[in-house]
Amino acid sequence: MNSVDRFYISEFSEDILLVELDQASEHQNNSSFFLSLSAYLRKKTDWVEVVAAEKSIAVKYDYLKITDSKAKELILSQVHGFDFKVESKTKTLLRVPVYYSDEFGLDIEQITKTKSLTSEELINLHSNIEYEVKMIGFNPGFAYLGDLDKKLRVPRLSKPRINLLPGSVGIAENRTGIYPFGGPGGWNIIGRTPMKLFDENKENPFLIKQDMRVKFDPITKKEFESFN
Amino acid sequence: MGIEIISSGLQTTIQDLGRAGWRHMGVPESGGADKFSLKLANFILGKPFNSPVLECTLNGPTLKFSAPYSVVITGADMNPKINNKEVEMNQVIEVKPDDILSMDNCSKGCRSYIAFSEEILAKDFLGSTSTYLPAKLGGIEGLPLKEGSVINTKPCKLETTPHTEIDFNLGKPFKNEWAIRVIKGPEYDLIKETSREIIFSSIFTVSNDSNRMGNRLTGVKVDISNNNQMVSCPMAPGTIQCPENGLPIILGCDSQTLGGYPRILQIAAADLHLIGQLRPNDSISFEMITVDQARKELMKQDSLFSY
Repeated sequence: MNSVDRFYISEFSEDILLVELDQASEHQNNSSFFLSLSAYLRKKTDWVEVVAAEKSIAVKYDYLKITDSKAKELILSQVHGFDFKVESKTKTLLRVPVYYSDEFGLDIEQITKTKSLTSEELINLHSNIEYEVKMIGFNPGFAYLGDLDKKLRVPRLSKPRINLLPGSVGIAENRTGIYPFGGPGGWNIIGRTPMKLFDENKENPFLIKQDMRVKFDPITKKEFESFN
Repeated sequence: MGIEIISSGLQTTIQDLGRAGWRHMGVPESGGADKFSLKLANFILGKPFNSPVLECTLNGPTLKFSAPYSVVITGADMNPKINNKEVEMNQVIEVKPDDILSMDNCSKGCRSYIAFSEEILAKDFLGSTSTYLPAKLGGIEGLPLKEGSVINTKPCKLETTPHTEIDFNLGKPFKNEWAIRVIKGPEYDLIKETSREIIFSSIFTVSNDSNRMGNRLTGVKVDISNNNQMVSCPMAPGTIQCPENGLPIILGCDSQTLGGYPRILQIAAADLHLIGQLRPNDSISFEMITVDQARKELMKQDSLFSY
């Protein structure tokens, strides 16, 4: 642990503890710190749940097996054994093919107009960056990837769509993401991946995981259709 | 062997105690919205607590049995009848092939649970058969039961013989006015001083816009200190979050894992099952207890019935 990271643990509920960093801590504003720490905690002990957000982690313990003070002690000893530099080194890169087109990219036209971009510029801006997973949530397997290029940042749609196609690729503010199941969503859709992000027959059915970086590769309609 | 769905009821789904351990991947635990009534139904039959059951919402289904079963119905009273003859809640009912169980509307509470002596065969996803409608997971194709479909079952081992003499206070009848115990949420301090008194002396109304994901409350506005700097935070079932409009939302068992509104209160875990029984237009008031009291109440509840 870095000596300037001061952890603060409080009670969220009868069996959930909230782990936060003191305001002055070195990693307080590092958006991948908590994600990395949460993966570490999950490896260490069989906690009921370890859920990371941007600036905190919720740890649920089995209150029938361990008291609140014991759980607190255990978390503290674990976070002190955590080395962010070591843990964040091991990220694997996932390449996700995307067919950027008006056919699936429902909002390309609007975005290129308001941001004064050509479609090619939009595609380049989106596919040139290796994104980090910042958060996973909202929907099963939905990963918040960032940061998006400043020139591409647009607000969420004022009215979310009801029924997106699975694999739809969206952007909103400084984040981009892929809708694994489709369904409702309020992000601006710029393309679609033929890749299956969710396979319920796998032990971990979700393709994108906390410790990954993600890069998008533009593909043609033909490649989209023949992808298996 | 199977159970035919003659009519589906408003929203009847297969649920067990849910899929814990996957919130970090954005998967809520789901399971019965009222896990106490769900466990009670299985307990009366002598089945493991986590056995899948049918969760019925506001208006129950009509079912036809192709084989003999023992059946237990708990939770909200939807006037269950076998072959048009009234049957008791919280009791073992023996049915014969071709018997028809019909249910009606409930006037108090929102959800009933039907457990059968055989195991319901449903799709397992991450260790649970619970139906999660937003992503169509678990259950039968991830959907509510449909008229004309058949629930397949297979014989299963019971933990014990059925509990025919249970303490009747366990499945106590529901009301339309609820007093729910809460503890402070992480952003409790953001509630303005004047609003703190109002929250605990007022009666909120459950809005029509309520489901397994959450119950929206109306009737009283909660003033929150202007703090729009909230980043996304972990949420849990029972978290009461308060958006800018001042109308609190109680998160349910299918709620999102992360959210961006202040978490002002948390439903005491011992009362969390009651949230699954809130129906539109019910009244609800809150009583604050400490987290230590809440933990004691939870343990007390756990000891009410066990194997």
